[in-house]
Amino acid sequence: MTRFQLVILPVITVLFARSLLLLIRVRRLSGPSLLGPVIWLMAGLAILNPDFTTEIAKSMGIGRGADLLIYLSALAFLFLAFYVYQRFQRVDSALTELTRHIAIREAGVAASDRAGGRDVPS
Amino acid sequence: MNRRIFVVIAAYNESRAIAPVVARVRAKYPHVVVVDDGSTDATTECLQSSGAHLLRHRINRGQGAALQTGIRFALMQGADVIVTFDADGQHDEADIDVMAAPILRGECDVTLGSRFLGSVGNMPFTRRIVLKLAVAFTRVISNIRVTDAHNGFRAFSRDAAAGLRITMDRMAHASEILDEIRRNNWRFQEIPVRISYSAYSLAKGQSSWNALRIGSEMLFRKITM
Repeated sequence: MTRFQLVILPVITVLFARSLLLLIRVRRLSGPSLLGPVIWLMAGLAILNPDFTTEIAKSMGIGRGADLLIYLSALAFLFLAFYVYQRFQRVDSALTELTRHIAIREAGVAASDRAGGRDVPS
Repeated sequence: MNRRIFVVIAAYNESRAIAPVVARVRAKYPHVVVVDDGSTDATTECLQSSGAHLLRHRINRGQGAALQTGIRFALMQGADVIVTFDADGQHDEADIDVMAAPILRGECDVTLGSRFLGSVGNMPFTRRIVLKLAVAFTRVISNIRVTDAHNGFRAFSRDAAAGLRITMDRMAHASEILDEIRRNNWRFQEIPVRISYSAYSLAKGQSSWNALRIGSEMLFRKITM
């Protein structure tokens, strides 16, 4: 076993166990909740036996396992960026809507105060 | 004329210029809605006695968001025509009637102020070029023919204002409004308006470089939405 494997495998094992525990705690199996354990398991396997990725890469027509990992991480990064961007947009417009709601409500209250406490439609 | 014209002004850190602008508009139009878009200066304070409806965004959300807030409020107050007007004094309040008239006559749903049909005082050369490029960009992206894509002087009928959805909170809302006109098949007219550029309005306005950012924001949204 290489020094790298000695250092990284215990870390991966802990992360794998943690994600598995989380999965057991929520008691709900769904695609996204399985993603964590599956990724750590694959990472562990790939580090333990680098030929594992090479075999998958070869079966897909990509020469080296390392190349496969680079392609996959590039894809994952793009996906993540897109996901975060869309999520950010949603939060951003929710924030605007909330700000708007408060502004209109306060203006209604101010108008009601000016009108001597009568209700003003808002 | 008993139909109610509401003038909506979005303001962000405009305390230096906005009070006389609102006073001039208010002198002719009783219904003025100012949306202070989370200013850090005394924009709201200097308007307390102006008689305008004052709305305040607690946090800065951008001009598009502020206009949408003002428009929604004006609709709640029973507006028949809603005119958007810039806070920095570059628009002429005498043009408000001209902008509202075709809508009141039922000739169209939206009017858009155009500085290229009207007269422009002191427009810097780079500003002219950037605005012309924006017009070309709009023609391609939004497929709508206008002579001035980024003029804040606009008027909406009640129905159009109620249907308007500005989701681009920041400056790209100008192109989005044109998209909305296309999408809803609103009848629109371009109206020549006077724009006077002062050192103040130029400093407050968008830098020409910002146009690139606005354009890319618009494109990116088109792709991802």
